[in-house]
Amino acid sequence: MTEECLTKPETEYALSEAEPGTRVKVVHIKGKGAARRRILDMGMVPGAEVKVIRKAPMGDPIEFEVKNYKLSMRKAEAELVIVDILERGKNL
Amino acid sequence: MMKDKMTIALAGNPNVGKTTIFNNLTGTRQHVGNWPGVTVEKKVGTKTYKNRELEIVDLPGTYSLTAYSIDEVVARDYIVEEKPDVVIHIVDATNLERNLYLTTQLMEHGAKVVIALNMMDMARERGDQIDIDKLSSLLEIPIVETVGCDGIGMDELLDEALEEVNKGPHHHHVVGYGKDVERYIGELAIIIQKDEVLAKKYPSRWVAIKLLENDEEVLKKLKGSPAEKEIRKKLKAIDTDEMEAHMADKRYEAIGSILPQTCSICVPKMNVSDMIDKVVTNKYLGIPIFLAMMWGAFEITFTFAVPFMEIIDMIFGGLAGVISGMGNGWLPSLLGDGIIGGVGSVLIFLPNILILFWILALLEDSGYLARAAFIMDKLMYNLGLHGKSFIPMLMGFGCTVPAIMATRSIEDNKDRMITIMVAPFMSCGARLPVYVILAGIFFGGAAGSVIFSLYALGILVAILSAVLLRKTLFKGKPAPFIMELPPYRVPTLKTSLIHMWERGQMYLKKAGTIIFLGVIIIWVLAYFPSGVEYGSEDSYIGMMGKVIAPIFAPLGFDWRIAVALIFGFVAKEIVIGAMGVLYGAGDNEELLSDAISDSSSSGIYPAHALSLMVFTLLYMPCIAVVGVIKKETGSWKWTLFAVLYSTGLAYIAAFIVFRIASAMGYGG
Ligand SMILES: Nc1nc2c(ncn2[C@@H]2O[C@H](COP(=O)(O)OP(=O)(O)OP(=O)(O)O)[C@@H](O)[C@H]2O)c(=O)[nH]1
Repeated sequence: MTEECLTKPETEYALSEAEPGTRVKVVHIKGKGAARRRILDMGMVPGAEVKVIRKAPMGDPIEFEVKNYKLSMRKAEAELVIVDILERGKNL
Repeated sequence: MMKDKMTIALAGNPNVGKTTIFNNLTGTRQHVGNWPGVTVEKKVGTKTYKNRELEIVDLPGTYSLTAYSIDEVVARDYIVEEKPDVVIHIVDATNLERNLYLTTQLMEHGAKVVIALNMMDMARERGDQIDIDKLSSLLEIPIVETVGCDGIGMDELLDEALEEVNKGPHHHHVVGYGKDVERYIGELAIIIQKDEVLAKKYPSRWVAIKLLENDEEVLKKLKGSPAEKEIRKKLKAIDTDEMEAHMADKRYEAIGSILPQTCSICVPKMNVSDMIDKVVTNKYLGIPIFLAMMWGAFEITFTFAVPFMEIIDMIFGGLAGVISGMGNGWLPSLLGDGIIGGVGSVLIFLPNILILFWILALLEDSGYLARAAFIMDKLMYNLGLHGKSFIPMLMGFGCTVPAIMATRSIEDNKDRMITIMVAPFMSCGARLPVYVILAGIFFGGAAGSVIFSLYALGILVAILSAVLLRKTLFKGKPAPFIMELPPYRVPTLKTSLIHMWERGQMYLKKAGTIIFLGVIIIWVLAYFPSGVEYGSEDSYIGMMGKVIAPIFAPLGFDWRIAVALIFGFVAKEIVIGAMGVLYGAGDNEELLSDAISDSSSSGIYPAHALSLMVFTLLYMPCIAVVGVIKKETGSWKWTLFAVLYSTGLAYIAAFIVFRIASAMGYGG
């Protein structure tokens, strides 16, 4: 984690970087257009709590829990979701 | 005021039991078609209830009423433009928070809504306590508890819907967006009202909100409006990206303020679904389990299908017997050689097709299909496809028809088109007999490896084609992958059979007419000019074979093979049967083997056989598939493209294979 702090500010932590088990709070959604809209519609709205459940066997996409249901997104989409870390998961 | 006819639209998230409730309400009185201009399925049913004629429209499952996918646009346009008398909004009681998001959007539009709170059995079993009266009064929407699969609550639902229609317009609870945003909404709404046509057609608050969300479809509706300029100017000064996030946030906030008041213990703890997923999507077990399931699916398909195929074979054999007793002449030939032979050889695959549809429905209803997409997405994405493309391509090994129909689950049009174009290269069951016989005759002990190579070649061509199409005709990235992983459910036999039958029926109806036509055309070509032997050198098809034979010469085919390939259009396995006739062996496989294995007289050497197998693998899909491609793409242009593209590729590949094999000394 300390290495990351040197290269990027803590505020720009993307959901795609979080390891399984981590709980985060959504800060905002970057980007434009349809993907962003869908992410918002599916409940990844600013302030929402998200838990990283697991990565797919090949490492991508990633499964999350948000608004009491399970949502999966590719890393490419999860990169748009900027989050604050609430509780760090054990790095598996 | 009483209206005699009344339209009810069913709306809801995917997988909430919409189809089940639709079937409960309408029974058999339903009609499946397409929404104009798009390939989204449109289901309309009718019902007479308390002396009212009800027209019930099943909208596509959607999470939201924004313009994300074609499904959403269709659902929204119906509600906004066609203005059904009432919308029955089906809500999954076990997943209220996300489901109510759509509710907030329906309310915002001002449509009359009745909520069917479905899956109540599961919610109760889980121990959820939902205060329905409270929820109803907070939302200001009538709510009826339902259990779709047991048909509970259906009459109450219709009663509420009728009552809601008879009520005058009344106040609807709406989401408040906060002072600043409300000011924008108000200002925009005032401008919108300057355009009387627009204001009359759509609620101006709703239009204002959609404009602030930068909704392209609604922006399009503004075209030519006297208010357009002023609106655009106003919007320029507003950060609509910011607005979009804000609106979604506020809607969820509104839900968040309602739910705790109405639902205690509605948060599931670690449940069965999570436990299953721990195994099924596990890092190490996920892929082996997936492969095992797919292998099992094929095993079941083929073992279950065998007895049915035998029955069909017997029936058609019997019919053929009866007809050959009718003597000679064109009619017995049309019936026997043409219709019974042709339709029979396509119908023989019906058990396979239906069982594959059934398994697909089971996988879908259980929730596993979403996991399959989740597991395979990385691989497919690297090929320029979507995780959801995997299952259709895999089904292609069974039969291309259900494979192409399974592409319906792919939302993005480009992703779907590419999958449709490449699925026929997966070597289907009908091509196998061709390989088995030819490889058996010409490659003996190496037959297994030859057949395996053909399957591998099909996969390779599919992959390369996908990459190529993505770079040329369907430019762009695969659609984003943002997908719900629904909780696992035990699929019910009834629902899965209904799903199977819906698809099967569609296949029979649509592909059926094309198959029939194709079969008749082939028969006419093979039977006339009158007096010639069926399918022989002197028939039209024989003449055609001779005319096109020079084109095939570089692949090593003579006119007889050219003719057999034309016959193969009916169903690829017929290539063998047609060769039997053309080489004077009738339908006796051993005679055929004798006739063609003598290379010096038949002109078929191993290189020719290989070339023929490669061509059979890749060339234009059979009539049934062409029919389904037409149906699913909705375009003759793309259907023609599929035919030409595959045949062109087949030609090139067979040519290369023939030349290499000949150079290696296998060409005689
Ligand atoms: N336990 C329970 N299961 C239900 C209920 N209603 C429907 N189901 C089951 O839920 C599954 C999905 O139902 P569908 O009717 O196919 O759902 P849908 O909303 O049409 O789904 P899509 O066609 O994917 O949009 C089926 O296996 C049904 O048998 C219910 O009230 N309780």
